[in-house]
Amino acid sequence: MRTLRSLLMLSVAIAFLAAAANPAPAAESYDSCVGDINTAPTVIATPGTWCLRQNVITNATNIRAVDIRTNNVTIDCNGFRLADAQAGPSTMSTGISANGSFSNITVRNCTIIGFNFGIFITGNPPGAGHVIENNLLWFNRSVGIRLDGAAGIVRHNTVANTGGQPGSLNGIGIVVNGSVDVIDNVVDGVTGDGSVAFTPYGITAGDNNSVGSLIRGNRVRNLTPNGSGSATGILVYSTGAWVRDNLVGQQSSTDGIGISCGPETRVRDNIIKNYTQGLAGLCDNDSGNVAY
Amino acid sequence: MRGLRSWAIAGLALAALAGGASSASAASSYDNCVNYIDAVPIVISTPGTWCLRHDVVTNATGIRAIDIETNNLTIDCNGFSLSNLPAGPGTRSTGVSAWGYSNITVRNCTIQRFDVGILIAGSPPGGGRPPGTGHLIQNNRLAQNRFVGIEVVGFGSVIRGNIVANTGDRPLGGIGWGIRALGGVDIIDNVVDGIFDDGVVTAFQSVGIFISDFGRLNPDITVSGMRIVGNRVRNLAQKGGANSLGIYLTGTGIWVRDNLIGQQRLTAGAGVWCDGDARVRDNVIKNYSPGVGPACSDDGGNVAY
Repeated sequence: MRTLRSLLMLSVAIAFLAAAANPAPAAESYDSCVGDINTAPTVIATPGTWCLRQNVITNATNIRAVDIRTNNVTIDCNGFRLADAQAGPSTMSTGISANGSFSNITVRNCTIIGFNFGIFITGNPPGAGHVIENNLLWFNRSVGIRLDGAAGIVRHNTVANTGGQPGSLNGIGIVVNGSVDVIDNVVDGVTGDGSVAFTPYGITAGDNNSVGSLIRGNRVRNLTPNGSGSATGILVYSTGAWVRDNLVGQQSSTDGIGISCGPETRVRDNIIKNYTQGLAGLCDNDSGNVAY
Repeated sequence: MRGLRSWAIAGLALAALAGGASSASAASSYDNCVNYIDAVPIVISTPGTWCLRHDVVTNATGIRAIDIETNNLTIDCNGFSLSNLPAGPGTRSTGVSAWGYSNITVRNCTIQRFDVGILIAGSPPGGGRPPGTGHLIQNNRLAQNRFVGIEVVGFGSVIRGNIVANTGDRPLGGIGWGIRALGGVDIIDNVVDGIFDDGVVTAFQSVGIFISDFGRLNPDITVSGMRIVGNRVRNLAQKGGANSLGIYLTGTGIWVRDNLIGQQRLTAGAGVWCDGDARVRDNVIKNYSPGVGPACSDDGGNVAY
């Protein structure tokens, strides 16, 4: 009881301080915006910085809310929300999408809530030079962020409470394929709908015929398997990835693997708590890893 | 009990939303812009922040698209692109250029398909317009530039947080460089991904990151203490008898730490190659032999495989 009261006071205090310490969105500048995103779905076919000036809410169940169809596009939400929460957990909609060989796409300063995929950047072949940074992904139903490509970066994002797609066997916080670096993100909470065996993943990295990713400084917590499913904090199925300085933790003993490695994955200075296996697969343990 | 828990969760959610609603880096403001770059070539001789407010494209060959002719100048592209795509791979144009000035910043730019993306330099020591100090190149994308992504010659300078992708394709070019620096320049947290040849030459050398002091040019001028930290260098092409070098150092007192240098398959060359006094620590190097060159001072923690 006392703990909960303290938590309540702390959380309200954090909320107050967070609100007080940060200016209202109206204080942001829109000088560099080439256009505004006021409704969803919106197709972006002109390069430049496209901005939100208000929250954009949809209840559509199978759309790409922001559909990028050209190179050199920045989506800057200026802290506003792009939400599909009203569509319910069965939605198949994607928040921000680029599906083509587009390059140099940035998504920043967005709060993306309640989509099936929050951000999904891919192509065949995928493009290069994408940056996903400073976003909050919240209650997206299958995947928070997916980025395929070369020379890409996913950094400083918070991906919270992913999952809940009815009957889905998996949920993933962050998925990357190709030479994409995943740096300093928080993945907190991946949970199923409770009806089937569920296997949650915090971060997964594949190589897409490139050399591996850097996965550094991320915090992965509170993955909730169900039934015969098991949890994996970081799954690397690329070759030559470098996994370092990550914190992968569970509140209680959990069936699963803290860090699961593909070939030639160098693993160093990670801290792993409460997984039945700390490191597994083909990890090359370069020391400094702590599993307890 | 349940009510308290709900309030606690609501409070945390409110905190998350409050934090989410306040962007760490807002959309760019033009408030500080002293002027705008709406077309190129342009010569800039007034200090201050010069801004792009839309994409700028040129088909010119052999130009300096943005030619900086003053100290204390910032180019802020606000995320817009400066492109030389129509000029083709034979262009000899440079995207952003300065020669012999100090305190030059280039930020938030996408610079593509020039021969050299960014060139901030000066005459060799003893020359007419010596290199300046205090340059900062940060948060740029350099995409498909033909010869060099970023080159900085100077002192007290930093190249930080840039993505240099797919450099190369200069016709009959025998070498491609991702980031090249001479002098007191720190190179921190950049990505160099992809350097390749034109498909015609029979020998091709790639250098992901190169740094040198001025010792070779003028032994009377020495700088030391440059840091090469936290960079990721990948996918450098190599052909014929030429080598691929992930990070290539010449000079004294260079610290190389926490870099990731990887190739998809075993490549002729070296992950880190030292020609001088360089301290090398905690780097991970894949598919080079040797990983760390014999002249490097290996301070431990390097993994080469």
